[in-house]
Amino acid sequence: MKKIVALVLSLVLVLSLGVTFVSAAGLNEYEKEVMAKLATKEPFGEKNYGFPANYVNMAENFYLDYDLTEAQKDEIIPLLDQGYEIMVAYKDELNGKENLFEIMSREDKKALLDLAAEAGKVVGLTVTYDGKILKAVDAEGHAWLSNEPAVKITGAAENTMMIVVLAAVAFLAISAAGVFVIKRSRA
Amino acid sequence: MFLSDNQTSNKTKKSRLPEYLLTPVVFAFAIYALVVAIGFTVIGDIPTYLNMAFHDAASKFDDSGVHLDFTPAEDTGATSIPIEQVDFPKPGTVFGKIEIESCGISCKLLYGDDDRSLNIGAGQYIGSSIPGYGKTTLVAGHNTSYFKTLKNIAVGDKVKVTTTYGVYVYEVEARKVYDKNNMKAFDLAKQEENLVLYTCFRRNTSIGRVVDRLYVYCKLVSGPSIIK
Repeated sequence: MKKIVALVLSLVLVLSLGVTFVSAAGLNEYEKEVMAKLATKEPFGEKNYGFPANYVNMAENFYLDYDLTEAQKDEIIPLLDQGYEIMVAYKDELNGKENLFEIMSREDKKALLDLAAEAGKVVGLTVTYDGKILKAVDAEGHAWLSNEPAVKITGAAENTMMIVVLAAVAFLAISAAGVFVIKRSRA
Repeated sequence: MFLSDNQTSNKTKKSRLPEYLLTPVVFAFAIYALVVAIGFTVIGDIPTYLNMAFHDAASKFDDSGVHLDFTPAEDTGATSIPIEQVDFPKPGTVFGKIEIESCGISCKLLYGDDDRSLNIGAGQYIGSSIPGYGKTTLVAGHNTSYFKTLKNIAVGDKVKVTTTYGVYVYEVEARKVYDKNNMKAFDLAKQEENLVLYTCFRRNTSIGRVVDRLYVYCKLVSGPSIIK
C-alpha cells in the first residue's frame, strides 16, 4: 500500500510539473526540476516522506523516452494540485504511520487513482489497478510504471518439483492399488 | 424367471461399475488434496512457473547461440557518450546481452523483468537505471535457464554487458544471499555506477517456494558513462 501511495504520488507529480516541448534525448531543465523535486523529502506528520528510489527511477526512465509539451503540463498540474489536497487533508491523522493508504477513505483512494489515470491519459499512459497491481502502460503495451515487487520469482527448488512428481506417482499407484483390492475382494 | 450365467455375469459387472469408477476418483481426490497441502506454498506462483516452462518466444540464434534482436555497439574504448546518442530502451525490448565467461552465461538483456522478458533472457528492473547511467542496474535471471550457473560466479570474475550504445565490463566485488523481501540487498538510490545480478537460490529449503536470492555485486571496470 505504501508503494501504491508512492507510485500515485510520483505518477501525478512527475506528469504534472512544468515541461515545455523537449527532445526525448535526456532531461531538459524542467525535467531535471521534476527529478530534483522527486528526490526531496517532504515533512508529513512526524516523519519525512519521500518518493522511493525505484519510482523516481521509473519516472526518470519514462522522461528519457517521452517528450512532454507545455500544453500537457498545463493539463496535468491541476490534477497534481487536487491530489495533494486529498493527501494533505490526512496530515494530522498519520500518527507516525508510514502508509497513508491505511487511513485514507475508500473514496479518497479512488479519487487519487482516478487522478493518476487522468494524468496518465494526458501523456498516453493507461493507468490500471486491479486491487493489487498498479501499472501505467503506453499505447504499445509497454509498462513504464508499476508497483510490482522489485525482486521477482526467478526459479524453483528442484526438490520441490521432485516431491510434487513423487506425489503424483503415489496418487496413480494408490489409485491403481485401490481398484486392484476392490476387484480382488469381489473375486 | 431365471437369469442365464451370461446375464448374471453382465449384471455383476454392471453392478461393480460404480465401484470401479468411484474408487479411483475417491483416491484421486484424496491424493490431490495431499499434493495441494504439500505444494501449498508454491500454488500462488504456478502461473509464473508455467510461464517458465512454456513460452512462445520464437528463437533466432546466431552462430554463438545467443539471441540477438538488437544491434550491438562496438567497443570503441570511449569513456563517455552523449545522452543524445543513447537510444533508451522501451519496456519489454532487448537492448543488450550479458556474457559471463567464468560461468558460461551468454544471454539477452531486456529492459523490464516480467515473466515474458525473463523467458527470453535476463531482465533489468524498470525501477533501476540502464548501464552507463551512473546508478544501479538491477538484473534478474531464472536459475533454471539463463542464470543457472550464476551460483558458480566468484569475486574477481568479469561480467560483460554489450548494449546498443556501449560495451561495459564489470568486475564482481561480492556475492551474498538474502531473503527476497530484504529490500536492503541493493540500493536503487545509489549515485554510482554499479551492476547487481540476482537469481533464486536454494539454501536448505527442502520444500516450497525458494525465498532466497543470490545477489552478485559488480563494479564498473570500463564502458562509456552517459553524459546527462
